[in-house]
Amino acid sequence: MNHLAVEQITKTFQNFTALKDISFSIEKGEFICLLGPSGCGKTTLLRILAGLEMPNAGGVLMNGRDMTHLPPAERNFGIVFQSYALFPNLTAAQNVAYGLNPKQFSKKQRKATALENLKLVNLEQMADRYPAQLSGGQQQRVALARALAMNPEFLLLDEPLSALDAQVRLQLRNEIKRLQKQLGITTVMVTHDQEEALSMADRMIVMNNALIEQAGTPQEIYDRPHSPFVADFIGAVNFVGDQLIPNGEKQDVAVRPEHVTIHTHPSASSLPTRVENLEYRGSSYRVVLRQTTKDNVLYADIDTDTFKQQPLAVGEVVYAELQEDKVIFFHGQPEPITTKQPVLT
Amino acid sequence: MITALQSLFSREPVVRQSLSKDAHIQRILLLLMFVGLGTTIILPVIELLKRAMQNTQGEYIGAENFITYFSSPSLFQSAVHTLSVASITMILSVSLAFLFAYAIERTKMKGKTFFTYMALLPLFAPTMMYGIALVYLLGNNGVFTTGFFGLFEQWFGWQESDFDIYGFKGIVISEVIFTFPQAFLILKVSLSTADQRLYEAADTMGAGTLKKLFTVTIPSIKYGLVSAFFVSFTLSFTDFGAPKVVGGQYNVLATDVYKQVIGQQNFSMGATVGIILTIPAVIAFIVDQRIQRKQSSISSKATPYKTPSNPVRDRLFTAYCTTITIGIITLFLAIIAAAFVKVWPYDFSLTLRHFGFGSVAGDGLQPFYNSLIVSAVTAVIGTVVIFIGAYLIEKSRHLAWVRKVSYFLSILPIALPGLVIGLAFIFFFNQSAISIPFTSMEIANPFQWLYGTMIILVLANIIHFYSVSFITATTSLKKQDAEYEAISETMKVPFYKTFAKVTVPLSWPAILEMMMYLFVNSMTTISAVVFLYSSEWKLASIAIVNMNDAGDIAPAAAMSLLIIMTNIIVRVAYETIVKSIKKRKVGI
Repeated sequence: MNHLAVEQITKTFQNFTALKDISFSIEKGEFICLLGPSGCGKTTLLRILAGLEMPNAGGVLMNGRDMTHLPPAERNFGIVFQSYALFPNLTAAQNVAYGLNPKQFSKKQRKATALENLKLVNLEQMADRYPAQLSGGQQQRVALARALAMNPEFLLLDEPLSALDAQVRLQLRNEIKRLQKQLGITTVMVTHDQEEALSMADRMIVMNNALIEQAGTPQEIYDRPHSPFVADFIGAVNFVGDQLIPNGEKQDVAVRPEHVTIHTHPSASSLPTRVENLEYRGSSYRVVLRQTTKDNVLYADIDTDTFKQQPLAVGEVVYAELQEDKVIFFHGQPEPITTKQPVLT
Repeated sequence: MITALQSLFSREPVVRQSLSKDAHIQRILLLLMFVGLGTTIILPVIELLKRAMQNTQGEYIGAENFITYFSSPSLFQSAVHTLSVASITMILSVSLAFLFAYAIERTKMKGKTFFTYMALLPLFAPTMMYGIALVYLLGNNGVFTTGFFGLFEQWFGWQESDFDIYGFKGIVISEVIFTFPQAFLILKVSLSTADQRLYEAADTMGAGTLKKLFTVTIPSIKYGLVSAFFVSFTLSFTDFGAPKVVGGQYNVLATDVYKQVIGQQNFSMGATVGIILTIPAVIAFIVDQRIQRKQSSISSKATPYKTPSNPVRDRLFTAYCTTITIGIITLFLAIIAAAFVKVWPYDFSLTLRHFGFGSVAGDGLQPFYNSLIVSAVTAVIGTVVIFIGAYLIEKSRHLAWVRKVSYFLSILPIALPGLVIGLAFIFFFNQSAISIPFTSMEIANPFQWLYGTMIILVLANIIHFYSVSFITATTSLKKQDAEYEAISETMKVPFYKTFAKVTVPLSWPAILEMMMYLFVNSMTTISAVVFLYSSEWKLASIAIVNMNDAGDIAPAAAMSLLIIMTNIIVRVAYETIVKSIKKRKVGI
């Protein structure tokens, strides 16, 4: 039985469709990322899971039990928002203990629970600080501790890292992931950052225009994107359909820049190109190539060591080869066409 | 408007959430607020509209009253008078206020805090006071009219001159003083945000001072300017206090309403004039709603304005602000003198006897105490009701359409002049039966007992000053994270606990501002309550008018002074508390 199942959810706002017939399910202890460009409906979906929005149709099942109608308080979700939403007039400990009912827990118990959860996020020494006295990253960790203090069955994270600086973001990324595994808590995180999703998710769900484009492990999605949208949204990609298939559409076939190799001599399957630009990226170079015979641009990523052994100069004519086994076909692999016989004009 | 209505009523079917206890409480509160606003705003206004279309016998006569009004020269003349007063006031007040606000926000002049407080001083006084002060300065026995009681004649050969203060001039001067602080506040806010980059760009292109004024400064405050023009126009268009005191034979709409209702007991014609009185405010309301939608806040990339050094400019503006300040102080000095001098202009020895209010028209200090009670009750109950209302509209996620309509009802009173609220209240609360709109059903009026009580005065004040307080509350609530309520809900914390532990503590400055605003305005207002007071609940502002009518001008000045002093004390208390709250708050 699925731990959490979303069944055919549809949501419209006035003239705008936010979600169209969305279904998926989550196993216990999984870390799921809902990924997509802004406006794709991912936050709406999260709010429907939490019971803060109601769908126009469809349902949410928890351990097989229909909970579509339940108000947020009865769903047992912990939630963390992008804005932290910490109460500024309460200390970190008071924020974390906020949901603990005084009728059920003594003052001492509440204090202990607060400290325990602050300890989880390594902030027990900050218990008496007010949010304004904490950094952004610390505030978000308090928000996380607050969400965990209620011992929720699910954790919902709504772009929790988007408001933070790049370095803090990386650090908190690891911390969230570590906590999630340690507590084994089923987690759904919304993000528009593909790198974040790739690095954190057990499984990711890529959304666009109110629909699920593809669901799968980060590796599956990166290696075998089902649509040009997914290929383009996650990682960089060259669309080369018109190169490889006679009368093909450009968007039919794709290859990632790291799967393009550059040679100084032509081969039967290589494309003659001219180096148009070189972008240094630290560990690699992105080489912008323009085909000499056509006006197409092709990106190739060459790691810095390789590049040093065989430096390229702008204007130089080189031969690009697409690694055959890495080429992505979106509409099933067409028959006789392989990269061995590129259709050149 | 049509699309707004469509979106209000077109709703997709939504899966229903089972209602928690919280949801039930919120829904009940929302419906109570909705019914409350409907009963105290919409039903009285409908009653007013009905009366305007009846003759004195209560028969339906359509637009007959309006035709009578516009075809009778004496009545129509008032409309022309009022338009002239409001137009001239608007131009003078906004020009003066613009220069003053510019001096405060865009120069390096010294003494800005002092000048700001001086500019706001007129806010604490009832409009009758400006009239009374003018009479003492420029009236028949006024300080300037008599050339400082003959002193000027001895010194400079100044002849006594007649300033002809009763009438158009007196009203316009009073209204300019009355609307000046309002226009100043609006323009001060507009001028306080400016994008330095635009001025730098203009400088690099060699634009001169005047060119910058018209190409950068004015465009960036245009919405504030429009708003200041409208506020000055509608306030002076609908003011009752000043024309009552210095209007003389110069009739305006506001005094006409009063004369029709109180003098001639012609309620239908009173209602008709009341509706005419409302027209500019309604236009301003519609324009303002449209402007607000267009008004984009200043770009987040804007760099704050750096005032360039210019000693000549600073000296000129200091001179200007000093002149205005002297003018304002002179008014208040005149009132103080009037209140303490035995028999103006014959016996200048000082006395406290005007504060006894022992004459026929006065009722001792009782009206002042009444005003204190009514204002305090208005401030407390008004703030509680309006703040909770704003909270529900802003933060609840239930009954979306009730919230939308309630929002509209909450900002609607800003378009209703006080006199119209007062008149609509008499019609509604004084009738024996209420007919339910759009039906032919009638029920016995359950509110009739309110008529003549203190409660109706409080209610009229709350409605009269509802919108501004509501906007203060809403602005403060909007600044708080929209997810506080969501967080509490997922953590099973009842909404009222979060309201008490988070929302209210974070809103203290706004809550105090609302209380202060409601109190100060309830102390000075006359327009709404003039139709609603009973002999038992006579208010200070009404006593001023009555005493002034009876020729007891000195006690009227004394009463004005009491109101002003009370309001200044309340304002100082407010500022002190707000300052200490801001100091205490570490977390915010």
